[in-house]
Amino acid sequence: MKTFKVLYNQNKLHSEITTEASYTDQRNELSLHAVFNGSEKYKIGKRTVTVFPGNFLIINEGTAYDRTIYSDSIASTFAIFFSKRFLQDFQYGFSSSDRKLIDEPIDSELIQRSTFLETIYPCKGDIKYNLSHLIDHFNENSDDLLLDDYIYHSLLLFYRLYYREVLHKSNRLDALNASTRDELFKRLSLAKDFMLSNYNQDISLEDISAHACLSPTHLFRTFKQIYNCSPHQYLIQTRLDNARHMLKNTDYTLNEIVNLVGFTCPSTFIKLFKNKFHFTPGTYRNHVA
Amino acid sequence: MALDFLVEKLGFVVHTHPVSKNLSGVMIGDNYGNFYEIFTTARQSVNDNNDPSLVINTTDCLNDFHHIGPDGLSILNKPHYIPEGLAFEILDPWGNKYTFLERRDYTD
Repeated sequence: MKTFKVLYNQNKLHSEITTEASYTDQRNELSLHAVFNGSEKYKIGKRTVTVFPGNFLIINEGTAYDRTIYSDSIASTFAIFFSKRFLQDFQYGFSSSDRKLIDEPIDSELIQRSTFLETIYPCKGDIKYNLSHLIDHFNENSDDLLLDDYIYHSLLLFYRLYYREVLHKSNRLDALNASTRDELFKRLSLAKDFMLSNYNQDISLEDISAHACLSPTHLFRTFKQIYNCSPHQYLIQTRLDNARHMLKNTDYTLNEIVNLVGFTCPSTFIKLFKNKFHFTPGTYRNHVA
Repeated sequence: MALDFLVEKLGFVVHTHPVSKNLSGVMIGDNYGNFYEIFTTARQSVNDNNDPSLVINTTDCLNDFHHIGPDGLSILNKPHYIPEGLAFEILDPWGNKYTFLERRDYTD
């Protein structure tokens, strides 16, 4: 099922629930692509990223991309396309009173930004709640002004996230100058995206470093500066987060989930899950999910 | 009076009645099938410096803000993000403050 809506100000919303879909050479406005079930694969230039639940992808205006859903289970995807006019109005009208809406230092230089790092961002906290409400109201065919309020807040929250995930984190790098730091951060983002896209595969540090065009030693050292953990720890956390999503939202058995998220040993999985979430997977499914 | 305002101006429907003279827990509902439990405390005197405030827990703060009409209300602030979630505040004609709060779990 595919639903598409163009709002009065040319913002667009797109929802798709399917097991199979393919779109080539897409080129749109600045857009946010989230997945709530299953997965969706994007090809941007030579790069392929897969978006799973708990993440979203940002694609800049004019970037060409292919989008594919091919899944055993039903994939549920949602996208916001921010019209150029809306983005300009947002930037022009952003004032100190708007800044007070979010408890984060957002400067006018950030707000004037129209192109962003095309990477996978975490769909957690406020932005997750906001998108979830937006989808509900989109499905209920609520009026455009209400949908627009949610789109406004989605953009506002994305700017906050961009500050936290890109600007703040890239400043942690001990690079010599700004351009070197930006390039290094981009490569580390490639490494992160590779892990988020292939978390369920058997991937090694060498695979990740080759994908990011960094030596394993350089990757290991700089990744830790940004994400406060090693690439291996990041991969394990991603697997556990996805396992938790499956425990909460699917009927897969524990052994199936262990295999689906890329673990080989159930007992190791249970131990790691308990260490991170303070519940065994079984307890989590029965009492928390 | 605050309860009257909630019912008459904001369109809430009372589902239970106050259980105590000084502290009351009242279940009210809106037109969208949402229910809120509100607690009101009696003002000790008209000169009481305590800022009377009702916290109305909601599941969808932006939606409530969108549907609340301006009739008789002063909007103190638009929906904004606070450590507990998303909130906005309004004043009724008697100076009572209402905080609409959508509590959010950030431990996820």
